[in-house]
Amino acid sequence: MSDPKLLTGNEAIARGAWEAGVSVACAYPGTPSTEILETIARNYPEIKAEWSVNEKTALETAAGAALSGCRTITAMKHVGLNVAADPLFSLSYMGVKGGLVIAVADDPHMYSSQNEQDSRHYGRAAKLPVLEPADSEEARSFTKKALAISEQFDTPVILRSETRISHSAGITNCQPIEEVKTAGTFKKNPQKYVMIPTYARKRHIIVEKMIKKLTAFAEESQLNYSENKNTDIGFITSGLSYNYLKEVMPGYSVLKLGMIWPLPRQKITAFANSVKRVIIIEELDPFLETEIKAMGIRAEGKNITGYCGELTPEKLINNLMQKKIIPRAKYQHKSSYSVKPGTDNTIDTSDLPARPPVLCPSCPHRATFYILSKLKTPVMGDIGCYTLAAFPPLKAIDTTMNMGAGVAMAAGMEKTYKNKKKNIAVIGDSTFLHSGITNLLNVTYNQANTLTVILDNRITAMTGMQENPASGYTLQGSETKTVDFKKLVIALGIKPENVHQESPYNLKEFEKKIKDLMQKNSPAVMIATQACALLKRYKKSAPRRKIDPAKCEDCGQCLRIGCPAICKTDKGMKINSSLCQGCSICEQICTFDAIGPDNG
Amino acid sequence: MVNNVLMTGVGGQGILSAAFILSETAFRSGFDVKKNEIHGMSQRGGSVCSHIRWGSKIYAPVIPEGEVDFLLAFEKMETLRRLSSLHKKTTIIINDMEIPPVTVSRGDTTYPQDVINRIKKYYPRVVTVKAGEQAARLGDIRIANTIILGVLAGRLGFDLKIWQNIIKEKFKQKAAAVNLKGFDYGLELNESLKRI
Repeated sequence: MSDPKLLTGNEAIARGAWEAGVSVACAYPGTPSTEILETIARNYPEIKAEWSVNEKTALETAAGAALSGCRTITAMKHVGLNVAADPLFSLSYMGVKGGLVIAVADDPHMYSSQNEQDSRHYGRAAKLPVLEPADSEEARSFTKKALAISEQFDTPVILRSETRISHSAGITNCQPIEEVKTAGTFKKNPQKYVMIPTYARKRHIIVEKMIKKLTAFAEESQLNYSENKNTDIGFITSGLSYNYLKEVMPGYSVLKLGMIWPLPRQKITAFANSVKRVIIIEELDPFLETEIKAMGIRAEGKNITGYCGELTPEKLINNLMQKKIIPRAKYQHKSSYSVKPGTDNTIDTSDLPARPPVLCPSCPHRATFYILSKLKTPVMGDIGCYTLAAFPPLKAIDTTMNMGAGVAMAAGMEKTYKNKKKNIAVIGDSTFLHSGITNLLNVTYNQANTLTVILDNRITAMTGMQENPASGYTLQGSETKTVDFKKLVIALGIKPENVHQESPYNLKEFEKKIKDLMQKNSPAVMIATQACALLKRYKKSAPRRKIDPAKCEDCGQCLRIGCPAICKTDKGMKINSSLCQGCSICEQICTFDAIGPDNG
Repeated sequence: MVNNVLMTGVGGQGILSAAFILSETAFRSGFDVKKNEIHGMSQRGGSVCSHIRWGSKIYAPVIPEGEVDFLLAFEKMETLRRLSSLHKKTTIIINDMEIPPVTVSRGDTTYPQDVINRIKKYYPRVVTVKAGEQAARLGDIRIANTIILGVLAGRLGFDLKIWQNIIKEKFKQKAAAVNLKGFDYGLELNESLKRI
């Protein structure tokens, strides 16, 4: 008996995992995948779920559970799969026993990411099947199918989502839970599980045979189906693109691929032969297009859809019309009488200011970056809210590449760029624990003379306040061991006298300590500990600040910290009392003593 | 027939809650529904939007350009950012409230003037609501979003009991009561505005 609910793609993946009897779920948070594990923790407490310290650890943990015969899921964003790629390629040889699904969410248009990578390539590269749902209902049912395929073919399976699938809600036909296997068994099988060359060579042969069997499965499976209508054009598509196509081009023949690796060659060829013109609609890379052309099929694709950014219904229809694939008159929609920019009916929007995301009022990072920006030395950033410090007025971050990178990049640049000062790396608490520890070890091992600033705000903030080993709580909110950053960095080889811990809210003391560490002639670490302003468990009520107009010289010094609560008005500087949280950084930097607590 | 509502505003204005309430209402009224929203970095004080679509069958989770039937602008100037989404008969419900972006507050540029008149010149169906002020008057600034939702509800024809039940489920007791008050106020307000 199905029970329809309105679920987001991420909620539906969690639901599918639960229905299929998954007993272990591990992930590291990353937009747009984060809510998969949050939903599991909230709604399905019988699943043993955890925030792992990084995606590699998450996949390895899931692999361990799968080898005991239990079903598992791990979730991550696209760049997280790069971190987990090492186990991925070998796990593909070892196979699984219990089903193992890797839910990976790409981010076309990079709403919250540093690149637009297309994770479908991992299926081909690591030799494992990839399923791609088109909406929430498929997110649920494909998760279950992926687990079944994983067990049937003894392979991990990638479930590829993306921002518009993960964060869109649709009607999902929820089913009851199947049988759960929570207690596994383990039987030694070194030829299968110990990937030394002798055994791995044999496993590779098995993997290639498995891919052949999977191809035969793809030919038969209802995951790949065609809707045969107009024979002038046949579209081959998958996932979200299918729904965009149905939105703007109903009435055309479509081959919808639910399983995008390995591809059903016969099914694709038969479909291509049934139409006059084959057009492949896919976002990002020409993954299907390259493969389908390699089958000897004449097809078009990226010349119509383009490589960059997300596909949208209007982009799709406009490009199809521009290339004269469909006549203009064929597409009727409401906007035929719309007021469009560039026509006579244009509403002037030239004075519309940008609304960029900003560090929140009272964000402790603001104080840290205010001090760092005064040092005039390269600051290698990392992944987190603090990338926002790259924007004016702080302009305090010089690089952002990937999780953990800044620590090593500062050391690398120091080898070739002597600035007479230390190069600085800044890295968040969760990011440091994810992949900064090994890089700091490399710094001390090779004695790079850098300053690493750990932005310890006690939470994984950017992705929406997830717990981590520095927060002291688990995914489920129960208390756990809290990492001691000071002891940790000393253990990694930083001299105890080269480590300071200070709240950046104590601006003067913080600056003094940073300057002291900059003078050291061996690697140093500043632990900037101050809870995220949004973190309720640390929230203390501080009086809001106000500006005394009698003392204010209108010098603009307070604007240099980029606090959204401070406004320049016709009548001088003002603090917006509905935004101010009372961190007092502005008060501490004001030369004229014009800012103080608002006790009124 | 497909119905398209676009909600736009600033992170923290309760757009995700409003989108949840509307999409659940359409779902429980027996329609196929899709809703999309953007999480993550864009929420840190940036401009946010949510798409809600319902009808007998919905494919795309985002509204194609030029097909929005109702635009709910929770912040005034954000209306200008969504013009390409509208058609001539779109009903635009604007919360007459300015939240200056950081580019304005630090004095790089100014808040655009005369926004509502500019829009009214080309779109005949513009409704302005001082939802922030009314929310404060009703006792909680955070219910501005349910006031706007009430104005919309008066124009959609869904059973009001469904809306109200979802609001009751969505919020805890005390918050539910004040949100219901906001919603009812929005309904009343809409009655007085009916001609537009």
